[in-house]
Amino acid sequence: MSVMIKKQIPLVIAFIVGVILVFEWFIPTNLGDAVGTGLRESGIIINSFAIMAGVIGLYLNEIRKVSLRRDDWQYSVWMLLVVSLFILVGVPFGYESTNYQWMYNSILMPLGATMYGSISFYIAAASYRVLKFRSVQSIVLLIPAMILILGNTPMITSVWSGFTDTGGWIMTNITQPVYTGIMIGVALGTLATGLRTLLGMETGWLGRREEGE
Amino acid sequence: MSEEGFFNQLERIPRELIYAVLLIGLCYVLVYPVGLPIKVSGETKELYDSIEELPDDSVVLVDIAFGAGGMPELGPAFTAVMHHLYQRDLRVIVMTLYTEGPQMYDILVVNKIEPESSYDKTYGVDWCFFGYNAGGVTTMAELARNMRILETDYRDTPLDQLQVMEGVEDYTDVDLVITFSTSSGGISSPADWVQQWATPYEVPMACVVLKMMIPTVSPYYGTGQVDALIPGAGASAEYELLVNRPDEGLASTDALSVAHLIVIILVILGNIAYFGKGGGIAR
Repeated sequence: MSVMIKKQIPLVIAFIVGVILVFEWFIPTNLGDAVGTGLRESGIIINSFAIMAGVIGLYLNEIRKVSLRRDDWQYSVWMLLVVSLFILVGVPFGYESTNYQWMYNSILMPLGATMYGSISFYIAAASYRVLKFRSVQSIVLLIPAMILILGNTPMITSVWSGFTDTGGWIMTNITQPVYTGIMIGVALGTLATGLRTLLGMETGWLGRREEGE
Repeated sequence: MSEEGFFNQLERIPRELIYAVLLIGLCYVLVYPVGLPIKVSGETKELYDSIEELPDDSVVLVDIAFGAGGMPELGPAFTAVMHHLYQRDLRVIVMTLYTEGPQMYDILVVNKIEPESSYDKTYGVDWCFFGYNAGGVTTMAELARNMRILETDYRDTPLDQLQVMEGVEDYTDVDLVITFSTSSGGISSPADWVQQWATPYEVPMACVVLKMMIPTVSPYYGTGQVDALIPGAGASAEYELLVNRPDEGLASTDALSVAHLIVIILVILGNIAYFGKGGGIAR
């Protein structure tokens, strides 16, 4: 019974939904369109509930971590406090309320900006230590990198556009084709995974299975 | 100090010193801007033209896919592009699949741009905001087929009562989609928009992304699936110039230059020290 509920029924649902949506796309009919729309709308509703399930799961997981005094449990306490504070203010008063706006603008905004801004300091220190002409490969990496940095420096480009033009050439003729190749590879992998999921050969999305299931 | 000692010292500049130099440099140009002329790039002009060439009453769908973390880079670009949209007689529909999107809308559109007082625009007539909607790429896909899947805007006003939504039923009624995204994959990434809107329905599409995301989105731009692609950093200043609304983008241009120049100087110093100590190029 357990295997039936945990594995076979979800696999059958995934197969039926997947086949309907694939057929709806490739063989358009009014009925298929109506069923496809209904399925997508259901997906959106389920997704909304999933957010709530995620929050509950987060609470359960972090409370367990605190009660068992696992490594860095203090961070879990802090996270539970902050999440609870935002929920207590956000749910009854709404995100447009003055209190919520104040919390967002005074806590999250500066933290987010600081986290993002601090990257530049790490990049500066890391580039000093790492970007060196140690090998032929590093030369191949370093020269275009320097050209692109200079081409994206407004003080330089306002005086001379040569770096911008060269950087643009590198982006168009080297970066774009390379990324296109990577993306085609990823797309083929996604397609294969999709087919495997549809056929029940890929079961990772069902979660961790117990022995014998 | 011996020559080798000098290069040793040069190779071991404490990171705290690097941080301090960068901090001082950034603060200095923010307080005393150099104000060098800025050249508008072709890519930025392309986005500007794609909006400028839209006939009056065209529908533009704007997607906010960034939060507090991406705001320093995408906030100025978003503001500048929104100024441009409000300067024109366009119908602007703002949406977000990002949980922090509503906050970004409040901060940047409601409190900063203030379309009512700045451009004499009316909410519901000239623009509307759908608010946050869950569902990610599924919602995005369904919106292309049926915009009325969302029954109300963020103020719970039925979409049917909004003048701006008159005749806007699906992708065929949208003339341009602009996404402001920090997402390389996952919720509301440019790739999602390309896959769900631009490629199947050939809806004109513009992307404003983090500078470091440009390589990942540029293949779509190269193939024409994305009509305009600009990074937040740098291009926001250019866009502010184009719409004549100098703001944070221009103010941060010198800081961007200084940060880049310091990185280049550090790389040069690192290499001088490396070769000074007898380092070579391995084959």
